Amino acid sequence: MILRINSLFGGALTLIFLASSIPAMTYNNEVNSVSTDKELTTNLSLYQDIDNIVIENAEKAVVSVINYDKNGNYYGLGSGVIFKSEGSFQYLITNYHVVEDGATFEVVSWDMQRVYGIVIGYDSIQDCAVIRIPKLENANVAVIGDSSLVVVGEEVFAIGNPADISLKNTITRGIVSGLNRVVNETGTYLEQQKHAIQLDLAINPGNSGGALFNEYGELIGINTLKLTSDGGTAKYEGINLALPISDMFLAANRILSSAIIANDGTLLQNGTYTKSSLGIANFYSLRDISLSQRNQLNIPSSVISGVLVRNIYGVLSNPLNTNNIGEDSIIVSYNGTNVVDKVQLRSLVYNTLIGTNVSLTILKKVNNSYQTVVVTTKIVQSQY
Amino acid sequence: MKLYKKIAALVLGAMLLSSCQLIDKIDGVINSTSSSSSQSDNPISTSVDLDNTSFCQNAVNSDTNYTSSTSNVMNMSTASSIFAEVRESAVVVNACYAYNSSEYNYITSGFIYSKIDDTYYIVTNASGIFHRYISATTNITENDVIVIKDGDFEISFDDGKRYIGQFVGSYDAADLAVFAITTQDDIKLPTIGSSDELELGDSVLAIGTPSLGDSLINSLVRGTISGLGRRQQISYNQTIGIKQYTFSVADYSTFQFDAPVNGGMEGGPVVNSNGEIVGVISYKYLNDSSTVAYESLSLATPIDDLKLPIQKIIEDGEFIKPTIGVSIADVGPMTIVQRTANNINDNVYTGSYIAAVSTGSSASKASVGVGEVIVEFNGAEVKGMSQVSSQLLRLQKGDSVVMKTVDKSNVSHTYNIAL
Repeated sequence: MILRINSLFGGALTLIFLASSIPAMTYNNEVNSVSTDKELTTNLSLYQDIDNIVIENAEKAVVSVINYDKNGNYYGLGSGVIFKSEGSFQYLITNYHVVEDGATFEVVSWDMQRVYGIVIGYDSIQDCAVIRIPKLENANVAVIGDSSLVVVGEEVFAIGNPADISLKNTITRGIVSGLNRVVNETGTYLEQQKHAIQLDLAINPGNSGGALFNEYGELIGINTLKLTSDGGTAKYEGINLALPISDMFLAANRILSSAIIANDGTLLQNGTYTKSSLGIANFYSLRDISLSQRNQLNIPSSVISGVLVRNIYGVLSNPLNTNNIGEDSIIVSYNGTNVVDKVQLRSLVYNTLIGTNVSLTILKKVNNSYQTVVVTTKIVQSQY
Repeated sequence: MKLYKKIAALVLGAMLLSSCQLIDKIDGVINSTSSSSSQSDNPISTSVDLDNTSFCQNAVNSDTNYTSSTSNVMNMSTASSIFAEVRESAVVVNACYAYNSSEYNYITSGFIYSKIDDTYYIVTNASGIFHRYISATTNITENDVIVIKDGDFEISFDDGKRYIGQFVGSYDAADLAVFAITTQDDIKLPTIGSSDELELGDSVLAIGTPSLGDSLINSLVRGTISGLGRRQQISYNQTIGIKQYTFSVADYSTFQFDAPVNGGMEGGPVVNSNGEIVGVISYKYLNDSSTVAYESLSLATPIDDLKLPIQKIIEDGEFIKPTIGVSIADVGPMTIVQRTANNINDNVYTGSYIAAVSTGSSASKASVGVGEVIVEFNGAEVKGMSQVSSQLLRLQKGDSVVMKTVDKSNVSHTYNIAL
């Protein structure tokens, strides 16, 4: 299993993981330098050479991750980024789909040094995994940028290992095509939604888990997915997606902090991830609802943002259900925060511990009209 | 006349890994890479001063003297001015053939390289044009030998001019073919640059004609240098004899760039931001083992590797690469298990492992040791076979070359090898 093809937006689009028969990607957290004084170059230059020093420093943080199955056979290739260096170890961030189904992992540094890595833990929902390797003297820890500052049109470049090891540390460049694209690699439940940065640069199978840098060499995303076709014969070109470093860094640190490691470095228990869920199965950002549907549902025109819930799962046990919140309710506020859309709501839930009570403001459908109710419900564990 | 796009799917053997990629034989493209040489005379110098940004404080490389002399700018006006300079030198090499009562015209790209008296010499991609030629002429079976007939090749320009192309010679192991046209017409000569000066991240342009032919003649594409010293091992399904020459396996160095290149563009020039030709478009990665098409994994042969072969082909009709007589396996692609099996020293990550030395060869006479790893050859750092191949293309029989190795105990050796 290498290239998983997931349907995005009702199956019309084909989404593919960027792992060469295996996906991988890593990040690095030791240095958190965020430049806030970016000067956007507003000249006519469409393509300036990327500065050598920027590339040199950036590529030293990028590795290849080779995945072998339990029989020791080559299974696939991905990329990774060193995000933390501590004691005699370094830590890579990569995609979960790069390490999925692998038994042993060879990590190849920028200068072709090879070491074995172990998976400290993963977050299958955020498609994030953390790999620990012995400290590489010649490698860099990536400078973590601020993905919230990324703007459409910004010049970026990717470093990763497409195709096979002979194309190690391939540099490709382009611009940011779009922000806050919603992708669901693993399923359609609310907790499985996430944001992605859309890019026009060339990334290919094997780039998964690799680095997306801004023009200053700061890590702003992890290359993860590409759209390959509309399902027909036409192939898409240059619709590639990276997961923002803010989300990946959070997931990686959660994995690291939850792992139990003995003093001698032995991994006693894998790191884990948040499975917080509201138990919502079928939902839409209100802004995606057509006018005719709004009329049909009788949604007041004053209600612009929020998340429309069409189904809930785990019907009997679901806290929403026990609070008598049924289909076609609209969540407009979560613990006092206005709900904008489904990905923002997912992010709010994601960062709330299971078992915590949260206060929701909900427009509840009663007799074809909406009433505002405030309910307290409990965050449950995702079934997915 | 109907054109059929024939793409020869060639297998690129990924050494030591079981995966194979299909790579697409593409016809000529020009890809210009901006060289790293500092150019202060760039008409529009809009470099960003990266010194002022806060990137990578944790990774200061004190060895590197960052004086920001590097910023070559490739913007709209330079791309169009470079195109205006180079387009007159860009050609289409047409393999014309009548077969089975149909006429075929298979194309590959190329460019004018030099001029001697009234003869212009044209560089193109050997497997591109010959594979198409062979495909066009007959159903070749393995080991068949095809003899090129004069008049089968025509050279055309985007102003509509068309000439009979004489086949001068080829050097298949670097996928190079040279044609000539003789004319009193004044055709612009391009500036030939240096591929050795290319650096990662440099901007390049490429010019070529995708296989649809005249309707897409001299397509200009832009990209960035993605990688240097990529080893390409190309083997052909068919054994093709060109005159007395046998076409078999190519093993040579390429550089990688991310401009979109398509079938028909191989042989076309890759140009740096100074408008100098630095490479010859050769291949693109086509797709992985499933159905996913690769995007913009394009390869070109460095022009510095071709200068001597071109010169010898023009002078003598052929280039004979000297050999040193060793069998090599690159260390870089070896797995940890393979490294252990081959007893590679822990401090050696790259280089070319000498698996065997041929009896009576140059290497044998110099007492080169089996099991050592080549780390330097002819003054160039050796990361793998790619760099050895590059240097051998710059040497001739009778030359001597200095080769440095390290052995299993990490002891260095220096050899003077008479080729």
